[in-house]
Amino acid sequence: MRLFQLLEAVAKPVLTILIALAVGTILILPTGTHPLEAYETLFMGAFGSWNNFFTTLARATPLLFTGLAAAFAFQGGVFNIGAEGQLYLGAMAAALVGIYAAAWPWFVLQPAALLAAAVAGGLWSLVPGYMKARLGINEVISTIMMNNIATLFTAYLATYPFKGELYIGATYQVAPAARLWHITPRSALNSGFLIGIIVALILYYVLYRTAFGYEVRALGINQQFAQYMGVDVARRTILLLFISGMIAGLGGAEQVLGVHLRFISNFSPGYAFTGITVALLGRLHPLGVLIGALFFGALEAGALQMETLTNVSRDLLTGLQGIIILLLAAEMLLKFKFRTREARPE
Amino acid sequence: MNALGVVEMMLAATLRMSAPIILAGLGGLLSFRIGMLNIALEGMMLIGSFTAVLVSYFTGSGYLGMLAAGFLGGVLGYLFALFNLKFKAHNIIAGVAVNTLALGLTTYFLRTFFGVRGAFSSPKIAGLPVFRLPGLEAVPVLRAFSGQSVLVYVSISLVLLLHYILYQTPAGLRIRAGGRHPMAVVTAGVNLERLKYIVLIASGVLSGLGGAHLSLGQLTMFSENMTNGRGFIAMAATIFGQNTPLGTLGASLVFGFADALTMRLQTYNFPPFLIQMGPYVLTLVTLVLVVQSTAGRGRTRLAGRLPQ
Repeated sequence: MRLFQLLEAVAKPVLTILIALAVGTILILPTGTHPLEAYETLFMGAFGSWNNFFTTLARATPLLFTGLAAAFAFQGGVFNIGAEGQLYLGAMAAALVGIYAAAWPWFVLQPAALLAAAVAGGLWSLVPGYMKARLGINEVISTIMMNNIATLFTAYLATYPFKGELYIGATYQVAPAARLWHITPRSALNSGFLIGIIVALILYYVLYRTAFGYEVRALGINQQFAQYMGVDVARRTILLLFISGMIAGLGGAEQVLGVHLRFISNFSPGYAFTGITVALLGRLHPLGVLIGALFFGALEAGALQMETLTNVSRDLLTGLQGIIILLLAAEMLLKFKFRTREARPE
Repeated sequence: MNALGVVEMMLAATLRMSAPIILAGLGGLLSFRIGMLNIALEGMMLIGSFTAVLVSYFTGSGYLGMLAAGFLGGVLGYLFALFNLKFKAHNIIAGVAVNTLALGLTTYFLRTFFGVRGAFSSPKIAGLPVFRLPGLEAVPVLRAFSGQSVLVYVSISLVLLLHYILYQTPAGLRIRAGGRHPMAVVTAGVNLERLKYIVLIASGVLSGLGGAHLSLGQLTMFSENMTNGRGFIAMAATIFGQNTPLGTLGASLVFGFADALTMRLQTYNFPPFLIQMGPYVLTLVTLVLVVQSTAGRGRTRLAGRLPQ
């Protein structure tokens, strides 16, 4: 029985990826590069050496955070499209602590910077949370607005009051004590990846082993039923968005403390939107999200090499990602049932 | 430059910057009225911007570029409708998908067809035709209304046309009722699903035209992610404008003015970010105020509750 369930869960994501890669072959053809060669280069770029594999993990890290943020909110029936903004706020908070509390020892400074990021991301998502829970305002609209405000607001902070020594809109570097540890000096992979895995494990425990997690999932499946069950929908929704925002904020901290070492305006190439793809690919399950993040990390790392060695631009990936979300979103396409059972809302 | 000259310049810039927001905003408001939250406006605009430049480059005709942009926007609108209505995708996720797809394809093709990363411009790209209103040419300030690209006039005419359609025709009544009381509309024998297809295709055409104005009306070039959130500004404009065509026009003019002001103040080294935040903050404030002033009445639905 368990095997059939697993097959059902895996069949759609796997088939979706295969279809996307097939569409990719058509897109690669006009470049003159043989599609198989392009895909081989991509694969080797992701897994061909230890360094490439580290790049894969490094690229997966921000997606792990944004994917978990999206998946957790989706599980509770909330569309947090705002992880991008929460990530920016978290990144800025981590940078400010890392720069202006430089005198603290690392075992205080690192947790403080991470905590500041989580709180900043969480507080930012309280606004849409409150608007949804108390006023009934659609969180999709409010989080989209909050995203744009966050991007512009942090860009303002990095360009004016907290501008560093660089010509671009960026802060100073964070103190060495605030920086996350790197596995090799040359790789971007840092201890933030481990933090991401710990967050995934905690979320798994919370969602599937605690009463709170049960309430969250009940909210996502049927809000009215959850209400009859005695769940305080408004308070749960606010808390749900707060936690989701905290996770996204941590993702921002990882980029600042582990990769760029400073806040750079507009540094995110849409991590939150790829995170939504990752969440759907992982079927909203924290461990599935981890696999989804690794998959996209591998694609990104591989695409860098593909672009250098062949004529195929790495932007192919964004196109494929669009196709993957489109297919995953379609409930009536690629349906699998290995055994009969009554319909169950997802 | 004298004060009148400044006013005239700002007015002309406001009209120019507002047109794409008006066009995509009309698409957004039609979708919203029939009960679909359309966040794919951004992707539809982006495809429009790219197609317009591509076709104009190869044919040398701004008109053809504009038509092709509207057509491809419509195709994307159809795709969005198909996944929403036939394959039962969640409309927000389908919207994210369309936006991602549009960003990926335009950037990839920019690189593959033109061999450039970043921006593409060429003297072979013909801009949109410009209309002159000879009667206004001699009048100071009002002169700004003359010499705008054809899509500026189209956008303002479409506002009036849609106002008429929404409030004076049976189709408009069905669209307005479709979002609020879908069962009533279906019971009355209307094919609501078909109407939704038409509305979403129309929103794609409108957004595509808006995109064409960005790449051929304001400038004659295409750059990566050229729309840069204008689809979301258009969404904000429909909400700020209370989901009416005239309100959307007003909101778009306010946001277009903010755009024009940003560019003007940038020459004085004023931080552009704070003005650019304005539309989004105004939209959030509007949402809260509308909900509080109409709590318990039917209009709250228009204030951003899930329209399904």
